Amino acid sequence: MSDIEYLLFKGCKERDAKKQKETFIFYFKRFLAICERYTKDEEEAQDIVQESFISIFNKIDGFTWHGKNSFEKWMKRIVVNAAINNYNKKKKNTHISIDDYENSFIETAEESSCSVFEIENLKPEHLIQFNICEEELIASINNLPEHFKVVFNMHVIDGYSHKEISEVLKISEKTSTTRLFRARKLIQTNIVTMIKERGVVYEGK
Amino acid sequence: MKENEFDDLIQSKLSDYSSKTNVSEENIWENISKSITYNSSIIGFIVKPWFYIPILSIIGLTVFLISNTSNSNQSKIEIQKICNDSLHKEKIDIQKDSIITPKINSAIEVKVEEKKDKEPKVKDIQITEEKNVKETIEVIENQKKATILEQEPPVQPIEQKVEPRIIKKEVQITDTVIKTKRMRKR
Repeated sequence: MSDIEYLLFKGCKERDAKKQKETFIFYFKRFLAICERYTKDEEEAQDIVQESFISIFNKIDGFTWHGKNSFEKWMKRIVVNAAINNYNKKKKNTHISIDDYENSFIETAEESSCSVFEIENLKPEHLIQFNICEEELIASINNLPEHFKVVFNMHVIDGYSHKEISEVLKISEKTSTTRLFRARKLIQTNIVTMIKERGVVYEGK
Repeated sequence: MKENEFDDLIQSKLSDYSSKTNVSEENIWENISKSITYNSSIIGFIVKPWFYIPILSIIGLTVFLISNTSNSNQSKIEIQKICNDSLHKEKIDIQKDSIITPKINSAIEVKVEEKKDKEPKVKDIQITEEKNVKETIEVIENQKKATILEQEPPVQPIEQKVEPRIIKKEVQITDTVIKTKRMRKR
């Protein structure tokens, strides 16, 4: 994996057209998955990936190899930044009041028939036990309200700190923490609901 | 589930997750390839800066030399024309070096030889400033005029013709004059 990664990086650095295409094909679906977590629109996600790859190939001289996974991490960062920029642009054009934020959370929570006990007792092994696959997790993340989803993606999956999130999204660190807490609860609620919908007896033990 | 446990679980499951989309990668790659720079065997060689910088330098130098040469020719023709049309039709020989390097901040020596001995001699003119050819010629012409004026012979005074006086007295007085003359005779 790291050998392939280095060869691809070297080829891209030398502006080798073949290697550039190989890099694109190798990482395309992985990067598209990242963008799909930030936007529900499939074509928009493809556009973000396209822009990201153009940036990657044009800015390759600014990257220095630091060993295994460094090239992939650098590329991922560019993709995530492009996705966040896209989110920020969309946010400027759509104005949602704070009340709507709160209501979206309360309504989702009220709709679920899960008890707090059931949610709190959800364990990692339950996901394996009840065959909760990646697609279902992605779906439950995508069902989150936009402002929760972005914070959750950035912090939990893409490794941003609350400070970085607050700077990028121009919110306070406290807001970031609160949104993450609520996003977690909503996803856990969704998972418990999915398990219960399968007709499996889930006692949260 | 603890927060950390939950986060780790999600992270491990989704960090390397690939999209299950059926979108054509080729179409997107076509768009990307139009916007990026890449090397083929020849293009790659040309794109290197050490290749195109000397070439650009040579082209620039050639253009500079050609433009300078054409300017000097033009100046030379202009000088010839002015000289032929000049009042005294003198042969004015301007040194080649002086014309080719008009912009060099050095002295331009212009020699003006006289054609005939009897015509006034215009002294050599030293121009120490950067001047164009037209100005140089003007300086020569002015110098010539100045010399001519200096050596022109002084203007000799012409005798003024004295018009005959009209004696109005004789015309107006008639009888009295006759009488007076008669009395004198007596």
